[in-house]
Amino acid sequence: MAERRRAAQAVVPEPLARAFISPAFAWLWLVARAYLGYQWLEAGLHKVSDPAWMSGGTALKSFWERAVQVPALPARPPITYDWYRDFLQFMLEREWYTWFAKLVAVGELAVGIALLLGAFTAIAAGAGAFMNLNFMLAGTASTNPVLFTLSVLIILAWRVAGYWGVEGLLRAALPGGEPGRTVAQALRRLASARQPFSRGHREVS
Amino acid sequence: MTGIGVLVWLAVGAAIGLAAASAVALATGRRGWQELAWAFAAALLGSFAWSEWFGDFSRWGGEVGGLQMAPAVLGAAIVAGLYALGLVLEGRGETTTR
Repeated sequence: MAERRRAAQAVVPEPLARAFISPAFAWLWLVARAYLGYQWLEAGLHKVSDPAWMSGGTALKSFWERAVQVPALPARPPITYDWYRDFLQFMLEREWYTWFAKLVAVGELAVGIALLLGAFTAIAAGAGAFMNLNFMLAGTASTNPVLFTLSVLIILAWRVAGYWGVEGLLRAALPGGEPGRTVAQALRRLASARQPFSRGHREVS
Repeated sequence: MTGIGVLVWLAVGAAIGLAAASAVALATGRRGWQELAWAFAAALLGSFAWSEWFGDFSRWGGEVGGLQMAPAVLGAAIVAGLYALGLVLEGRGETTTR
């Protein structure tokens, strides 16, 4: 076990590894989650209140129609990969935009809420990253590269990304959860007399 | 943010970061000062995040050079506070590697 830990430390410097596993850096992921969650929530709310997305999916239909266009040379098509253009064309021909638009709108909203609450954080970030990837493949850059990068970082920090959120509360509350993790206990410790302090990372198991 | 806003933001971050590091040093004996840079970073990011991203929803306390004052102070205090709390929990051997 110690050997495995040493090997991991040789690859990832300790301060960097600490940012992805320690509660001391959970604040960083809370801020990242708040930004990312707010972006998805705003986009999702806009879509679910728009009939072009929720009734008939005409908004998504026009997006797909623009994306699959192949202009005459020397202009370049929005989509680089033929297989992705074929995939969108396949869905367009079968009028799948009627239900797919609702899926996108509700999905964006759900990802936003989950990230803001810190519930199913890594799964939500993964779903968000997948949507960003699809928007980018369809030729839309916009904020997608930044949101995608943040999502990947949150996935990497899955252990602590939801620490200040629902996941952190559940860890303390569930049977077999980790005692000492609650905010009240930490506050008691802060209020108590000066105590020796050691980092005391536990073994990865 | 304009020049004066950036200066106020740095002052708010430094003051609250220092307060957070002092609280940790008082509670734990020694670690707080070693982590001063992180305390500053947490306070500055919290201040920036609330003022810049969510300032539109919380325009109380006035504005200085584009910095929403109350959100900037509250954001810094909340994030620096969470940092201090997390540091204390880390000191208890709390990691998420199990």
